[in-house]
Amino acid sequence: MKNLFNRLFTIISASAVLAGFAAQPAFAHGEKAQEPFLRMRTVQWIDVAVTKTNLAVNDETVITGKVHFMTNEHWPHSAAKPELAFLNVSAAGPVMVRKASFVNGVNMVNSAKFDLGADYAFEIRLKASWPGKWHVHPMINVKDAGPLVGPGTWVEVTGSHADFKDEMKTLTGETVNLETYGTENNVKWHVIWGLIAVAWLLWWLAKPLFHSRYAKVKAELGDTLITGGDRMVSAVVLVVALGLTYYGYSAAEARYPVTLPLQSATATIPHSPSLVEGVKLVLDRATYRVPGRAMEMDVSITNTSSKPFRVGEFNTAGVRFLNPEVGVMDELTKQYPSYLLAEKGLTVSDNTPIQPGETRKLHLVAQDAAWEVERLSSLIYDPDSRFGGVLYMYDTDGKRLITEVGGTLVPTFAGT
Amino acid sequence: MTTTTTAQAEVAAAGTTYVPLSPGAERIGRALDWVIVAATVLVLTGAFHLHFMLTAGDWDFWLDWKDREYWIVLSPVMAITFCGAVHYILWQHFRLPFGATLCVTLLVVAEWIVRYVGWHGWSHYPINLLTPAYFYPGALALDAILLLSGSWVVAGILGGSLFGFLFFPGNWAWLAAYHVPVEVNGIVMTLADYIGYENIRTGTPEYIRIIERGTLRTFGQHSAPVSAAFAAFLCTLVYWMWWFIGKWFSNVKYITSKGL
Ligand SMILES: [Cu+2]
Repeated sequence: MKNLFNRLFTIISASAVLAGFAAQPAFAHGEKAQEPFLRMRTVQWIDVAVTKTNLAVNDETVITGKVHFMTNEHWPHSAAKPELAFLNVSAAGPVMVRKASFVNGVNMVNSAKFDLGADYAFEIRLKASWPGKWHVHPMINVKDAGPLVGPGTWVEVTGSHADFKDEMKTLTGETVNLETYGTENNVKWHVIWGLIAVAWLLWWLAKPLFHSRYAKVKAELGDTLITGGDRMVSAVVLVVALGLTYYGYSAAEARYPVTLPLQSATATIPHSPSLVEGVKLVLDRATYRVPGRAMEMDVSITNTSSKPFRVGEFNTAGVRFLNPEVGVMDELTKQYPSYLLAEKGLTVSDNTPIQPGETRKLHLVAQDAAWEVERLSSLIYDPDSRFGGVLYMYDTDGKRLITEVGGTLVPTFAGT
Repeated sequence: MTTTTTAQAEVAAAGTTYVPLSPGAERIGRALDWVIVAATVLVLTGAFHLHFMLTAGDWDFWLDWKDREYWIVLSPVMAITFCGAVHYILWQHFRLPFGATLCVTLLVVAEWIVRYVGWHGWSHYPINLLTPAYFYPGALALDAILLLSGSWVVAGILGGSLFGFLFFPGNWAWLAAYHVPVEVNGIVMTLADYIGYENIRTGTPEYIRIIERGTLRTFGQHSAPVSAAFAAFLCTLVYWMWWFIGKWFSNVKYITSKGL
């Protein structure tokens, strides 16, 4: 009999797990699987940095950076505008817990509206919970547009999860361990009610069930099947169901007199100074050379700032193509994930500084295997064949000016 | 055999053609019972769990979705479905009243297995974020009322209402603890909100939560009881609907009953 129950339990478990999987949200990391147009034409991630990449359990690390929302001209028509969006993290589940997050200094426990063409500074504080090597990305979920994933960094956590401590003081003065808080009480109530349910089921399962009862019911003798004992047990079960519900509810109300409903407000984010200034850019033509993994852009750039500048970088979907002639290997760049960094990826036809007020036609080539590796090249198969990104200019003081670039893209397939 | 004589007396009294089973047939019937129970348990667990996850899924799944409106209304209404259908089958054919309790017990066992093994064991989400709600109080009351009244109309009105109405107070016994307020960098949240925020869910951004919206909110402090009352009303209707779905599914019109 015990053996039978073991087998039964295994079969139930298996079918339950199968049924559960059907309802689970997709878990895959999948940052490269996303359509290139969503990664190139929605938001651009700028100066993303992670304070610590080697942590012990309980240590905290902070992801900071800026995110530029592309203007309406480039934002894809097929993606919803960021009327409601949430600063999130893409990671392998809660291997690190999120202690706090901010956009332009505003607490981002809630969702908020973001504006096209605007820039936002973000900060995400994570606390290491499970040992392992984790790929962590900042991410913005835009309602009806999907997750927009930023550049990912490998973070290594050492130690043991058993040492993980995540305490918090409530407004009613209790200190609780968030990971285990209430779990015992949850299980206790499930067990109490479960036992009553099982007792009720056993009362019936102990009787001959289907065969003989069916025969009697069909002979219209069904009512004779109900005994006085059945009625008595049912009455008791009814009273217990009502009584225990009342008791559980009152006990909880007495134990937790101060409770609030779930909170869900939307945040309002003030604008920060725009990163996009001092440059006017017109895209004349852009092509993507498939065999060479190179995007070529003919642009007219006008310097509307007060200092001469040069083109230093093309950045799209987290991939950074640097112009080695202009030298922008700062600390942030050195720490940037190497698989997203094309150190010599950008060639500019003329590297002499563009003077204030001058308009110059330039030929830019952004070439790297990253086009393939990051699966951005598949944008040539998109229905609208458009790209987007940002160019970084560096003026003679080393100041960075940013401008959007984007438009239609013509693929060339022959090897030239 | 005394059982036979009693049964024969019943037959005589009822004036029907009931032929009692022989002791041998009785024994075989009992063995078959367990085969039927095993098959029923498997089918019910899989089907009900799938149905429930597809309808009340996120509300039941996450601690920070269990609000005073949608969760309280949707969960019991989506759960009473199978209870009604199984009630029909077990009561009309066998005069057995434990269908609702059976359904909700299997559901919660399946939920615990998936969440404990997959989401806690594998993906490290804490159990408190994943604790399922239970329907035991309402299901036990519904079963008991069906037996005591012997009527699907009464079971629907009284039992169905209790199924909907007892859901919230029944679960508040464990859920209340998570509605204690905390302050997070100048914003008030419940512990449930914060536990949900802390544990990164890539595919479940905050705005996706459908909670605390709509006109029910105008009832202020009394949202939960109002939602529970609304759930009670809907449960009665849905119970009856699914009672007939049970009838439809247990139809034997294509099988001849000659020789039974
Ligand atoms: Cu990754």
